[in-house]
Amino acid sequence: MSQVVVEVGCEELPAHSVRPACEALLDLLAEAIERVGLSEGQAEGRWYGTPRRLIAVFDGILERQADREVERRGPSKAAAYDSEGNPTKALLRFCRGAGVEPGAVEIRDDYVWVRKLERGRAAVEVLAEEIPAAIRKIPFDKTMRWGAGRMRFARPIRWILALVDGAVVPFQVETVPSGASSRGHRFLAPDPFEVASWEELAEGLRKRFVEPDPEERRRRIVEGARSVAGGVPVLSEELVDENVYLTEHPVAICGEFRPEFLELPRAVLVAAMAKYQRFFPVEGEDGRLANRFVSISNGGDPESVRKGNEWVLNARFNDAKFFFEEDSRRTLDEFLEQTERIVFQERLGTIRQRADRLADLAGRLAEEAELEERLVGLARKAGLYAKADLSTGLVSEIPALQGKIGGEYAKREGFEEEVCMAISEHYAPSLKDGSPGGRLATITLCADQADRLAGFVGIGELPSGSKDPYALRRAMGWLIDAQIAWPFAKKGVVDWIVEAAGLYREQGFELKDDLTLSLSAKEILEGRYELLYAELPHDALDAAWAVAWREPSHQFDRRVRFLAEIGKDTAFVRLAKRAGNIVSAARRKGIEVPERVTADDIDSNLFENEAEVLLYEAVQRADSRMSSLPADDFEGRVEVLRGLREEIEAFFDNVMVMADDTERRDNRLALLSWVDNLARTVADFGKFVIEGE
Amino acid sequence: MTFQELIRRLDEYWAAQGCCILQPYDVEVGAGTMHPDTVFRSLGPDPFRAAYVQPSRRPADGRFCRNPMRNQRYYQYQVILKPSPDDVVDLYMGSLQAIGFDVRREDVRLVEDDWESPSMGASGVGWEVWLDGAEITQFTFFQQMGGIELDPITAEITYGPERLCLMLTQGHSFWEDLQWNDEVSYREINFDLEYQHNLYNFELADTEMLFRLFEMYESESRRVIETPAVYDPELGRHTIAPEAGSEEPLFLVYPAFDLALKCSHVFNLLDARGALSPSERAAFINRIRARARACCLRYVEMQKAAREPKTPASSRS
Repeated sequence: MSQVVVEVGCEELPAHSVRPACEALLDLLAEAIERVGLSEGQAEGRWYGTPRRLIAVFDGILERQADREVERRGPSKAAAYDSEGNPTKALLRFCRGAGVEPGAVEIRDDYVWVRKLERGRAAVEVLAEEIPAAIRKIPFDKTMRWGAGRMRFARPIRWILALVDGAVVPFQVETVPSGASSRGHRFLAPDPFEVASWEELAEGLRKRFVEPDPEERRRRIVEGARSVAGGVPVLSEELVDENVYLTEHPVAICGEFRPEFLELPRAVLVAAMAKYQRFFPVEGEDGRLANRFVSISNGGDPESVRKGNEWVLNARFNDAKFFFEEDSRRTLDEFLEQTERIVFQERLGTIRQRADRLADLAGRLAEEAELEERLVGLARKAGLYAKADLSTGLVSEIPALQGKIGGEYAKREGFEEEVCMAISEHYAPSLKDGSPGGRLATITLCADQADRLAGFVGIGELPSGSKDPYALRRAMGWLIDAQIAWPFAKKGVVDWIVEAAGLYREQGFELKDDLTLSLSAKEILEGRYELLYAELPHDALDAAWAVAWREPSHQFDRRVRFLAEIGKDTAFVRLAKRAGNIVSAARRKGIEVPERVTADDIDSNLFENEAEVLLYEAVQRADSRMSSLPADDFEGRVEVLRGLREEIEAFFDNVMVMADDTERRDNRLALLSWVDNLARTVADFGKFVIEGE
Repeated sequence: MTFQELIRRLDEYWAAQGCCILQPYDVEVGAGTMHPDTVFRSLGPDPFRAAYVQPSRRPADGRFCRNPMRNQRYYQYQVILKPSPDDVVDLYMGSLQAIGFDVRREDVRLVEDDWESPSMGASGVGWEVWLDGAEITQFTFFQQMGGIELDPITAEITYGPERLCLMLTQGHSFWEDLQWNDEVSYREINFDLEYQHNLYNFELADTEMLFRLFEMYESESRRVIETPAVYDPELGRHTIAPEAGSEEPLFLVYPAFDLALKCSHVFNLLDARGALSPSERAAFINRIRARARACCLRYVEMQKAAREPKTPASSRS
């Protein structure tokens, strides 16, 4: 059994791309190894990675492919021999290509066949084709070219190590040939060194100030930060993760900044440290920020690096303080008026115009949520001021502070606590927060995202493929999440968007008509639902979507999950789809069957058979029972449908629906359509796929 | 470390790497990238290496000399390497050593940062370089210029010499801590110029005139780029002949591009003055891009024509 090691050495890759790239490299190689028959069963590998290297390792690989017998089909018997039974040119050509004598072919099923033994190739030889192909296929969200090359990759490739049991797998990617050497830390051990196995590579790297295993780096970062902080470091998972992939040799360093900067709002300090410097803020025991930070260096002399870190952080805070003081000369009202100068989108006007719409929409949503009158007023206020901070100096300097700064300045001016919280949190509220401020933050978020969707969808700026420049899919995701987390909505998200579009039109903007708008929004919604319910059987989602895509997401969520369960009851699904199947088959033949059936659509005088009469009566009863059930009582509705089992089965056993007498036929189809109407209050059961049917 | 010594060392280092040490371009630009030796020479196949200081003007960034590290007029040190060599990052690290940073003692990091200049139709992929957490360089592999896909790729290295100098001296403010040479401070050289331009940019600039200027520069740039010159054997040089059909016309991309740069600077002044409504702002950027792109397209077109085997010698001066 052999070991395969691949290391792709690059100039520093974007931190967020390292893990997905390593995973992709591993998957691509595993797929290749299995496909070419170099593993017994599944190829089991593992990956390691740093900003400068993507590594995949496989043990238990076959040294060569097994020999195998291959069969090739040649010309048809008729084309292979002439009338006298002599081989034709076609046959001779085929035999030459296959490397056999015409006498060695077999004839089967009217075709000529040859059988050949194909010798398995050595792993080194096969992988020399597969490894470069895998490297080229690693997907990145953004790629580049470099030098005079044609290849696209996230950053330039500098070296490639590719070994099977210590032997180099020979190939070249762009101008870089594969080899047996790797490199250590960029500054501390830059010279190439040769290895023969993963074990030697790992040891060699560790000796050269590179920890290849991200989990080990994570441990060092977390433990290092805790031990040097002199307080409690704020270790957000995201920031730890980023530091894991920004370093090969992480060392935690603690520094201080000038205490006077503690007067700045916490959000400003945290953003400057965490977002811009990738430093961890440090809290004292009382939970307040201390004038300390932890940085994760990638080597260097700790004292020298600490000094540099302090220098840059003090400079950044100094900048922030400058803007904070400049801003304090103005009120939020003045900032709001200045948003007149900030464009939202060229065809969608300014942020100031947007503020009026958000106020209006937030107010309407608060009413929809049946909040008390005071809070409805505050929702309007939160909507109006939510974007005012976009014209502040501090936000133009640190855009990540959008919302936070507005909330901070609102507090300074004595705005209601709920409004401050809504402004502050509306970019990413915790949707389950049931406090009045939390609710207003959710409502402001919904107004913001619905307005964004209405605007961009309304001017036809739709996401396509991997492109979603206005983050509309994420906006839709927020609306769905909000509706599910706090089920106040009486309308679905598409109708919110239509409502938001109305507000644009009131301001004189021209958007696409409501139907076009709904259809585009529906498409984005469908994509998000597919993502959200990827774990559930797809037919459950289809069955729900077909009848209820427009309903509020919390109800849709219950419906899909209910259907995923009920879908396992194939006997019931068969029953529930039976009537609908006949009706749709008839419609496909061009027969008109009423969509929404009432008792008036059915003429009981046309019945010939008792089973018809019994089903008719049972459906009437079922209909009236269903209309007394709440729309989302799916369990109750299914019970009613189950109650029709005997009558439905008797009907199909005894009644010929597609009778020659079209009047009777249509009457029966209408009756079945009525049954289907009832089923469709839960789902389009026809979408369920029953295995083997 | 003084400001001029820093620049001298960078010049020396990059000269040794085969770079032409060029001088600043003499039209106001927002960044070293807009120097025609970067814009045009990144287009087409010819190799090129250069380094230069470029004073850069961003009127809206002015802070009346009250911000310790931000001016409306500051310097960029720009290096262009085409095609980008395989060891371009190592070469860059060598330059840090050359100006006095010990990269083994400091924490030098390449952090993802993709750059783009909408008004030049330029974009690239690269990093900001961090030294102990402070951004000291923008490092870019150009992918597009004037909206044209590049081949081969040019590496652009842009240093902020003021910041580098401050870091080397552990200073905190351009205005308090930077020395131009041992006798004269950065403040003595630049303070009055900076301060007065702030007042002009923010309060005094005549916006009506600027709007007119923009229109004039724009239409002149268009007129120039659309007017061919042809070779006149009698004169022994090219001459403007708008009506004459010629196989190998010469288009004046350099003058046309200067005028596009003028548009860009006028736009920046209008922006600082707060004279542009949001939608106008976007429209102005598009108009500048259109001019710059027209120049780039002509440049590429003429380069291609010049390379074709049948080109008569007469069409090249």
